[in-house]
Order: sequence, then C-alpha cells, then structure tokens
Amino acid sequence: MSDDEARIAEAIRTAAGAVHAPPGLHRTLAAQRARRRRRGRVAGALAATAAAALAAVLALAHGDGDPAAPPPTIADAVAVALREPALPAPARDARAPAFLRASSGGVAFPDYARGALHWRADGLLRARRAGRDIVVVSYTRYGRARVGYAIVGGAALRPARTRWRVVRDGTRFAVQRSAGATIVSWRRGGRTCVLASRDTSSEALLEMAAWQPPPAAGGRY
Amino acid sequence: MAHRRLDPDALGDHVDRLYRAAWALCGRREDAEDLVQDTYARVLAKPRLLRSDDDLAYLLRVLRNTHVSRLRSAARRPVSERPLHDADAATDPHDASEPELVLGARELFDVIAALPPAQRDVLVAVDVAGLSYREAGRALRVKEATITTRLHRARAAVAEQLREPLLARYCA
Repeated sequence: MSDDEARIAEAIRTAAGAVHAPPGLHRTLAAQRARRRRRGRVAGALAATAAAALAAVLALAHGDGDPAAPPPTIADAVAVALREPALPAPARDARAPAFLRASSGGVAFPDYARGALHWRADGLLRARRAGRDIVVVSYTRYGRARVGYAIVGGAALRPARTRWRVVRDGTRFAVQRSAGATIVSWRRGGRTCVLASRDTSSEALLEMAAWQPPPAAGGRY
Repeated sequence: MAHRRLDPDALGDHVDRLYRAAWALCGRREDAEDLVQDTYARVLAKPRLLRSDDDLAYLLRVLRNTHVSRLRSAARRPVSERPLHDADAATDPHDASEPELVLGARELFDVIAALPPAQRDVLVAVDVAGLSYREAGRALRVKEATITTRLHRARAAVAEQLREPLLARYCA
C-alpha cells in the first residue's frame, strides 16, 4: 500500500470512527431484541399449554363480544395503542399493496411507508378489553416517533368527549390530549379507529388518520 | 463445518459499526437509521445459523442485501416527496462528542455513497466497518485479491474527490 493510500485509509477510519449510532436507534434495536426474546418465551409457553392456548385462540377469534356487556371505551383503546407491540410487524398485502396484512372487521391497516408519510409498521399487538378484540399496529418514523393505530372489534364505540373536532374529506375526527398522549379517534367501516402517540403532533396524527390509498391501489379507504 | 446459532443478545455490540456502514452505503443519516432497523428486523425474524464466528461480517452482508432490496423497491414505487435533509444533523450532540468530526464524516460518506457499488461495498466493509480483507471477502462473497484491487481503486477515487483540508484534519 502506498503512502497516499495509507493516508486516505487512515482518514476514512478516523472520520467513520467518530460517528456513533443515535441513542434512539440503540433503544429501538434493544426493543426489537426484547420482543424477539418475548416471542421465544411465548412460543415455549404455548407449546407447554397447547390445549389452553388453542381454547384461548378460539375464544379470541370471535371479536365482537357480548352485545349485552358494557363496551370498552376510547381510553381502553388508547391504553392498548400505547403499549409496546408483542408481535412482528405485519407484511405488506400483496393483493392490496397500499395496506398491510392486518385488519379488524374488514378495516385494514394502511402501509404508510409506501406513500409520502414515511411511517413504517414495526409491530403488532392483539388485546381484549370488555369482551372486544383490539388490534394495534405500531408505526415508527425514522426510529424516533412512535404511533399506535388501534381498531376496536365490534360495533363502533361512543365518540370521545372532546370539543376539538376536525372534518377531513367528510370524515369527522375527534382530537384529544390525555396523560401526555395525543389521540385522534374516528369511525371507519363501522369500527372505531384510534391513533395515539406520546411524541407526535395532532397534525401528524390527523394526516395519518385522513390517509387515503392512491386510486390505483383500491380507491377510497 | 459446524453451525452455531446467532445470539440476538450479542447484536447490540455491532450497532455503531453497522450504522456507519449504513450511512456510507446510502449517504443519508435518516436512511441509515431505517436501514439498520430493517436489517435487525430481518435478522431477528427467525433463528439464524452461522458457519463462521464473525457476526459482523454476516450482519454487513444482510445490511447490504437489505439496502439493495430497498433501492429496488424504491425504484418500483411512484416518486414521492422525500423528507427534508436534516441540516442540523452535524451538530446533533447525539451523533458524536466531536461535531467537527461528524461534519467530516458526512462529507466523506457522501463521497463513498457515490462510488460505483462494487468499490463502495468493499470500502465500507474494510475501512468503515473495520472488517479484515478475509472477512470482507466472505461478507461480499468475492476473493481477497478482488477486495485488494477494489479497495485500492475506491481509496484512490475518494482521495480524488475529498477536499485536501478534510484529509489534513485527520492525517496531520
């Protein structure tokens, strides 16, 4: 190696060595690894209690709940939406490329990463509150901000109590702030949808809530 | 050769080097974060059996493949508005304790990202990620002799394009 080449190699190593991954990226990757470990533990537990798990899965498959029981509230959906996802992010739906392969009651979760919004799905969570299934897809943007998108199974819930309402493209969105989180809730396809985040503005959430797929990808959501 | 399972807990040791490699591959700090996240998600999606002890070389190969996949996907996607370039990145205290060095790194990574892919990949593997020629050869699936040749050309190309003051800052 010539002196000149050694000099440039040294310059590259020195410059590169001064760069460190942002703390947010370290945290995100640590969370990814923790989820992977949890999945492993869950798989073991499932194997040990297969019969019980099967019964639970069958019970969960019916997500509309008992019509006579009191339904969950928007606050219940928000609490679930703000939890860390326990499952890997759903893949893009090959048959409907603007959406992910996750849905609740026929309402699919958008694949925001394909458009101009740059939110990427990074996990999935399924929970049950007051006899209803709540499906949450967690989205991140550049590894920093996180938003939980929850769809509540069964009939639509009572609208959130707030005076802050926004109408976009004919859909009415309720906006709230509660316990450090910003929340947007609305109805789509007869279901209640909730977006909740601790680090994202209401405008950004409204942009996500009012998202529509491109006409070529299936038209209006 | 015996296989061993990749330990997910050990992956945290390589984040900084992968991040540097990702930045040098794609030339944009924001894309580098996404690329490293996608790489880890891909690696963690299922248990991985490795033939060698070198986790970093394996991760670098996945990183490069993920980068190529993302470029192909982006080429198929309709053009959308790109996020604004983060002009304050150089002075972000989270990037490094020495902002001037980060400024130099950005300039350097811009030059590296613009190299022909074969030269860029070798330079990233050896000079940015710190692999040996042998490890880089395994990661990129090319012979060591090819690594030597490409590396020489890549360094010469970088030297031609970098401003002399930047070189002097590191080589005084």
